[in-house]
Amino acid sequence: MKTEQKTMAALVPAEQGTVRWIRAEPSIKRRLQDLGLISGAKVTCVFTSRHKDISIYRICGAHIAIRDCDTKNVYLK
Amino acid sequence: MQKAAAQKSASPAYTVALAGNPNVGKSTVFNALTGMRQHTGNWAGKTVGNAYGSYRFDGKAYTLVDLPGTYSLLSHSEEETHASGFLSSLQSDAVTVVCDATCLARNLHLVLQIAELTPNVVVCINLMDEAKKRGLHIDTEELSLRLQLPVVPVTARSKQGLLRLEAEIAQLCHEKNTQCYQTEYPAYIEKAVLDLESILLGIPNLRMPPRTLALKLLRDDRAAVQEYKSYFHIDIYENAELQARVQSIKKSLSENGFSESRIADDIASAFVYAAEDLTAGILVETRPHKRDFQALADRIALGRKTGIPIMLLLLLLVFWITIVGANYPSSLLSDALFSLQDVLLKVCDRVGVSPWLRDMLVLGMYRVLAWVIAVMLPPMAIFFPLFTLLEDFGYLPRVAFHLDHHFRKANTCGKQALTMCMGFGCNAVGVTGCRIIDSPRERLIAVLTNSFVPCNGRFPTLISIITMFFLGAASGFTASVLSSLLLTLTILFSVFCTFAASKLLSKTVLKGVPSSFTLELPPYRRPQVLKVVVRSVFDRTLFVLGRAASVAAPAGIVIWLFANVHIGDSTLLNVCADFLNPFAELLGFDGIVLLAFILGLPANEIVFPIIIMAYMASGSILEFESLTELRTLLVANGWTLTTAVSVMLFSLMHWPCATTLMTIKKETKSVKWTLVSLVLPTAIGMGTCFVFNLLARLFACVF
Repeated sequence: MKTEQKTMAALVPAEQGTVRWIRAEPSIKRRLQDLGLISGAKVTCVFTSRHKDISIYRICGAHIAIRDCDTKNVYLK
Repeated sequence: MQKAAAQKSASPAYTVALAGNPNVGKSTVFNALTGMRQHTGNWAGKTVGNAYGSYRFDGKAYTLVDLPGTYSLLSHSEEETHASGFLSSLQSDAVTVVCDATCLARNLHLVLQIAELTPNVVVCINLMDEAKKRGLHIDTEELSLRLQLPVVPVTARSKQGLLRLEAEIAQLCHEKNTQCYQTEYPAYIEKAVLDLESILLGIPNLRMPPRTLALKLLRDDRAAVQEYKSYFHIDIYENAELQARVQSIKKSLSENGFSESRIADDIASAFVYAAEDLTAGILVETRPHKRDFQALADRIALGRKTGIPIMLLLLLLVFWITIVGANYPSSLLSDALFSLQDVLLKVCDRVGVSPWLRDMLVLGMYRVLAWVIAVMLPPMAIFFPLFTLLEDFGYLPRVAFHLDHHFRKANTCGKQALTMCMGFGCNAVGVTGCRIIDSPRERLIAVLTNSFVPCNGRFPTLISIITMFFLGAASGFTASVLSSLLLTLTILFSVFCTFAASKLLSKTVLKGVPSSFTLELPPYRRPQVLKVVVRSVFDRTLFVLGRAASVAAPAGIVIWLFANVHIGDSTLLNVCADFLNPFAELLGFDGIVLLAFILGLPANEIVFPIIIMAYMASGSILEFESLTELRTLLVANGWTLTTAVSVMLFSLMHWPCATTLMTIKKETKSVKWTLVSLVLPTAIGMGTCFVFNLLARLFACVF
C-alpha cells in the first residue's frame, strides 16, 4: 500500500505544517535541526520563489530560506 | 588598544568569548564594549574568523573575543567549527552568549549547549528595542532564575544595558559560577551518560566536563576523540577501559533500537524542548503579533512580479546617485589638485631642485596621485556608504533569494550571491566572506569567481569610460540616467559571467551536485545612516584610497621613468608599449593600456590614471580639466567605441589585484588554485575581448 506523504516542499504560502520526521544525510539533518526543525515543530511557508525551487519558512520565529531539494525530505504530519 | 595592551602586561586580562547565533548583533555588542569598529552588516555570517578587542571595567582589563555566528556547537561549517573549537577548548574565563530577543527560544539552544561546557555564561539578550516594537515582553529575571545564569537585556545599538553586562561579566570572572541549568535527555541517554561519567571522573586532568564529553562520545565517539585530540593533543582512547565501555554501551543501545543517528536526533531535540520549557510563560506578547511593515516590505521585495524589477531599480538608483554625486566633487578636486601642481613646480624651482627630479616628483608621482584622488575618491566615497546602507537595511539576503535559482543551475551555493555582492565593495573581502559557504567545492568556486564582479576600484574606470564614449551629446539628467543604465547593464553582464564561470568550473574541474543550504532572512532594520556614512568614509574609503595612493605614488615615478628614459631614439614606455602592441591589438586596445593593467596589479584604482599619464607623457596634450578633454586625449591616441568596450570588458575580466590574490592564497592554502583564480578570469577576459573585436571588425567590413 502506498500512501502519499506530505512534505514541507508541498506547503503553499501561509500554510502551516507540523514536522513528523526528516529523512536526510546527517549533516543536512543537523543543519535543519539547528534551526529548530525537529519532530513536532511547527513550520509556516511564507514565500515561494518565482521558479518555485526555494521558499521562505517561518521556523521558531525566524524567516529561513531553504531549497526544495531539502524540504522534499522533511515529512509533515 | 595600546593602552589596554600595556595594562594587560601589568595584570593579566580576563578573556571573555562572545558567542551567538548569526545576525543577532554580536559585532554591535563587541563594538559597543570595546569601542572598536568591527564592520557590521545585517546578514548571517558577517563575522568570519575571530576579532579581538579589549576594554577596562572597574580597574580590570578584559580581552573580548568575537566568535563567528553559530547556530549550534554540533555543526560543521568552517566558521562554526572554529567557534565551537574555541569554546570547547575552554580558552576563556567567561562566555557571553548574545541572543536575539525577537527569536529567543531558538537562540537558547546555543546557550544550553555552551552551558554544558562551562557554567560561566552571561546571557545577553540583544535587540530589546525590536522586541518592544513588536509588543514582546520578556521576563529576564525569571529566565535568569530558571537558567541559574545572569541574563542581561540589552539594546546594543543605543548602548542600553551595557554597563550591567560589563558588571555581570566582571562578577563571573571574579567569582566563578559552579552550576547552572543542564538540558535533560531521554532516560536511556541519561543512564548511559551516568555510566560513562563514572569512568571519566576517574581520568586525571580531564579537560572537559565529564557530562559533556560523555554526550559527545555517545553521539559520535570517533569525532569526539578526534576533536579532543585536536584541542588538547591527548588521545582519550588511550584509556582502554573507556573505549571498551563506550563500545559496549553503544552496542547494547543499538540492540535496543537506539542507533547513533537516533541518539543524535534525540540530543538535538532535547535542546529544542528544553528551550521551549524555559521560555514558557516568560515570553508575553503584550499586543497581537504585528509584522505589518516587515511583511509588506517582503511582499514587495520578494514578490514574483515586483522582486526582480525592484532589485534592478535599486541597483540603478545606487549607480545614478554615485554618478551624479561624484561629478561635482570630482571636478572640484581635480581643479584644486592641478592648481597645486603649478604651485609645487614653482616651489621646486625656488628651492633649487634639479629639473629632472622636479619633473619626476611633480609630473610623475604627484600627478598620478592627484588623478587617483580626483577620479577615484568621489565615486568610492558615495558608492561605499550607499552599498553599506543596503547591507545594514537587510536587503542582501533578499538578493541571494532572488539569485538562488541561477546559482543552483550553476551547481553552486545560494550564499555565493552574498559573497559576490561583497565583491562589489572589495574582491578581497568577498573572498574572505566565502567562508560562510559550507561545502568546500562550492566555497572554492565562489572564491575563484569572485573577481568577475567589478570592485569599488574598478567602478570609476567604468563610469568614466561610459560617460566619455557612450553618452555623445546627451547631458544633464538624461545623461546621468543613461550612464547609470549602461553601468547597470555592465554589472548584469559581470553577474552573468559569474554564473557562466561558476557553471564552467562545476562542470569541469570542480564537478559535483549542489549541497544543501539554509539562509536566514533577518528582519529589515532601520539603517544607522550617519554612522554608516561616517564609518564607510573613514574606515573603508580612506583605507582603500590609502592603499591605492601608496601604490600610485611609486607607480607615478615608474611611469615617469618609463616615459623619460630613452633607449636609442625611443622612450622605454614606447619600447614596452610597442612590445605589447601586437598582442594588445588582438584584444582591441594598445600596448599602453595593457601595460597599465599590468602595472595596476597592486591596485585596480591606478589603471586608468596610468593610461592617462602615459598618453600625456607621450606629449599630445598636457593640461585638461574635464572628461571632454580627456576624451579628446584618448581619441587622439586612437581610441574608438570598440576600444572603449574592449577596455571595459578587460577591466571586468582580468587578473585579480595583488591583495585579492594574496587573500585567495591564504583562503585556499594552495598555489594551484591561486593560479587558477589568476588564469581563469584573464583567459575568459582575453577570449571575450578577442571575439568582440573580431565581430566588431566583421561588422565594420559588412557595413
